[in-house]
Amino acid sequence: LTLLIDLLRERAGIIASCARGQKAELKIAGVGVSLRRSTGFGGFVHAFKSATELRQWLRTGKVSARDLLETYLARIDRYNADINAVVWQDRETARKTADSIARDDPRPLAGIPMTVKESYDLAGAPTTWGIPALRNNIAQTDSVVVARLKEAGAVIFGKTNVPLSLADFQSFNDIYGTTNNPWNLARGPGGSSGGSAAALAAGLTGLEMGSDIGGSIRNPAHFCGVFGHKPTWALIPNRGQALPGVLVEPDIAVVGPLARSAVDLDLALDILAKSDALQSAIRYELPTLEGRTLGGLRIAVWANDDVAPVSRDCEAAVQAVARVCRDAGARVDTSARPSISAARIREIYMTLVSAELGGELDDAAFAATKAQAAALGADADGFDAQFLRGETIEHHAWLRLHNERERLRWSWHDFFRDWDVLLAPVASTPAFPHDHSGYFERTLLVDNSPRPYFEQIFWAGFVGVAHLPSTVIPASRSREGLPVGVQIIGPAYGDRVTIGVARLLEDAGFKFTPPPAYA
Amino acid sequence: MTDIAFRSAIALARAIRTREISSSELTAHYFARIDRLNGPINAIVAENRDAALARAREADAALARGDHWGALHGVPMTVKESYDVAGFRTTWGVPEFRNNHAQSDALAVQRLKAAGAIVMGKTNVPIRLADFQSYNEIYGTTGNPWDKDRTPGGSSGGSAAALAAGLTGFEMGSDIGGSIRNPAHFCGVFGHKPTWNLLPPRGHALPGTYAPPDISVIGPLARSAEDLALAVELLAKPDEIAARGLEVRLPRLDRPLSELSVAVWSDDPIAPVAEEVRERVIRVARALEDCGARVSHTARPEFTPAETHEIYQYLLQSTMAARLSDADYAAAQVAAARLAPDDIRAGAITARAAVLSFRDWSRRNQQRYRLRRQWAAFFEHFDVLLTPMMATAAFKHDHRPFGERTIQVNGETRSYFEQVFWAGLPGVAFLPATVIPTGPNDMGLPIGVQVVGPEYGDLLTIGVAERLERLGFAFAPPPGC
Repeated sequence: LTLLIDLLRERAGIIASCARGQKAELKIAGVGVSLRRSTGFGGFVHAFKSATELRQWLRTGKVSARDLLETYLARIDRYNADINAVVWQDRETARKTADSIARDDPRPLAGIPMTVKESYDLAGAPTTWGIPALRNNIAQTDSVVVARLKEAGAVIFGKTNVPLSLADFQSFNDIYGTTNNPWNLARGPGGSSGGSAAALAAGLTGLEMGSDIGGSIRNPAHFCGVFGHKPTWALIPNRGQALPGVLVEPDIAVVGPLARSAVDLDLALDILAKSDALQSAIRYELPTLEGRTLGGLRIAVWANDDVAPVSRDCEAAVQAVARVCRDAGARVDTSARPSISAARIREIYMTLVSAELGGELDDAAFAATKAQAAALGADADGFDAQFLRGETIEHHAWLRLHNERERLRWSWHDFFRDWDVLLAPVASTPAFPHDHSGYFERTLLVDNSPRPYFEQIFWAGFVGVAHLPSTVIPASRSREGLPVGVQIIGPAYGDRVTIGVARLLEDAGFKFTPPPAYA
Repeated sequence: MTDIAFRSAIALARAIRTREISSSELTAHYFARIDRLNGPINAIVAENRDAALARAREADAALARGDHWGALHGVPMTVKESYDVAGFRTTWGVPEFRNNHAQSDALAVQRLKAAGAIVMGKTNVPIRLADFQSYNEIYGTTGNPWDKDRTPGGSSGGSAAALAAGLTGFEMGSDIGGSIRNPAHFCGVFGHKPTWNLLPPRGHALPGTYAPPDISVIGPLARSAEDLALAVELLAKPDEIAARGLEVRLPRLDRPLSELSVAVWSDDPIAPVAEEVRERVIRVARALEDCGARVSHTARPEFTPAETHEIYQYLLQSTMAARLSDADYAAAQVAAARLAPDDIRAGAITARAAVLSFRDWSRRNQQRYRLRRQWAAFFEHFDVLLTPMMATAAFKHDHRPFGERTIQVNGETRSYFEQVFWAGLPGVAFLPATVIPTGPNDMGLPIGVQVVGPEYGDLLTIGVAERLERLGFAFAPPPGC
């Protein structure tokens, strides 16, 4: 039956593509299946399939790699002007690559058209991180991730937008402009992997790779209603997702996939979760759910916290997921917490992440930041103060916090002896209206209460600072009709567990749905 | 006939297993030797005789039942004072930690005990593990069993001296600037500095320390290279956090010596070594060449000695600064601020490195990563690199302030710390390095040679050491022991 429905959908897609701009209704006599599609020129239904399903289509010859690529290119021609998610393309190289993919190519991503975040080195493409001074920085070689994706057969045809230096919950910069949320163009798609999530949600690409130091995979997944996975730190080599000259695996930062299905996140890990050349003696053997269903799980829930209050929509989404788990028979606990206070965790995270960002400052900027930090009052403890102090921290002080982080990692290790996963919000609100004012001038309305813009980074940071994996699923819709995501957090190296739980929840109904305007 | 006390740990385990000797007899034998010989050497500074003998009796009873605990079943051993062992204090030679009694065993100690080892005592260190000698106010001074007027090296000086004097079956040390390797060299035993973070160091720490320190490693010392391989097999396993998701598979040396490519770096102007030390490196190279190995005396990695040494100095000093108190750190800040910008003397670098910003540390870390890549490229062409370990054989006790100390190299007065270059060369780049004994010099003092390999090439460097041991580069007891 699945095959038949697929066939019908495919037919519908072809018909839809002919009946541009109209509503096509396809009725098959004797089967009684009716498909109703809102169709533009690019309204191929398979544009919204998961990469795993697309692989199946390619393998069975329902579509060729070239046709699949053309589907996305056509949709980009039609829709990308609205959204501005895909900001660089090399169509000719992609067409050649797609044409070279045989139907029986056994590689796991053979023929899958995809894009990557602008911040990855892709030979021949600019890597700018939205920084005007790097406008002409054309990558000479592929990042480790891009090389592995290509080796797996992916057809990488473009790159997606980011905020300046990848440092925002929005995605705009002077080089590529502003990316809009396909659910509501007046709002941001999140950041820093905003282009990645928007492109997936609008059906402009088959699979995406982002990066995350403060929610940059997770917050766009949440804002755009797609799946995203922030891996355990260093599980996927970061090398080549970097500014020129940066070789070291940056603290907290990771690279990871975004997709329209949790199944694709597993697929991406199959290809990417291998150590880099210098650490080739390290083999990952990631634990899985081993066949356990939702009913067999122990689930902790941290739906809200005074340290970074979230809106009713975001809290309700966590509770909705928890309820489905409880109804399925899972042991659910809403009071379990790590042994270190949320406020202290936030301080450790804010300082370590700021230190990491400060590592990128040039001498003049560093001196200026140091002067600003020195001018702060001793009692200044706003986000701006934490940033300034963190960016200019002494290594001696950093080591102490690093040591405290290590204690935190052991605390989580103990926590996850009792719990398989922890559910939490991703951010304080669903996608918010574009706000291009200065970082520290911004406030966010959380259920009508103005809060500091960066306060919500707690929900991303408490996970990242401890190097834990976290999978975001599309969980519900806000009162305004915007997507709301939920984090599924696991112990270090529990990546297959958090994705496994995401897959169970996807089966239980927490699925990707296309934004109406682009469906 | 040589005393059984001088056998390798693996040979001792075999002797126990085959009932040649019981664990109780062997443990009592080591205690008898400690009573006879440890006084002037002062290598072993803490013991738990009753508990050790009781455990040895349990080992014997277990064996009688056919119950085999593991590869070290019943073998008596000691560990460096800096490891937590329940029932002992952990002081690192620092008087303020005189009463720091460990509540649990370090992870490595747990694993050794699980393999059947009897931990019967702890061995001496310098204060905060920061010297090429081993003396402190709590435990006093350790002497070299080859010449008690000389140091056994440091910071695992007690470890190497206890092995050389036949006071223990096996030892665990630690190394951030040669602390496993230079005592092995000074005392004529084997020592292995593992790839960084390969052996989880948890519990090798002063109170409150959780994060594995940069460059620093824990590793074994022994009377035979085969024991080093055993220690790596037992201990090169991720800690409980990482064990959820990863395992380590180390490559083994599966080729004859005739198929090896060996690079030799026997001396360098940046840290000149005594002629007799240089000659030993050449001697080992010649032994390999005689077996058919391809040997190059000119091959070097792509960076200069000055580059690697500077990166090492910055990263070493800034990680050592973590051990400073707030008051000492504040004083270091004042001292660094007083330096002229163009002052590049070693002491000036040390002072600046201790107070680096995180940003400047990150830049040095980037440079270190480049070194690692350059080493990886180098080891595509060579299996191992032979180097000296220290500038000279063991020197006479010298308890003057660090700044006043010097050593004599080929008749010249040289800086005391300059020779740390040879330890830092692999250390800063996380590389494994095994030290082998090459026999005593004219004055009867041992000289070691360092065998360096690529990251995670621990069983390659130890493998080469095992082959060399069979060629005669083996442990021999010091006279009078």
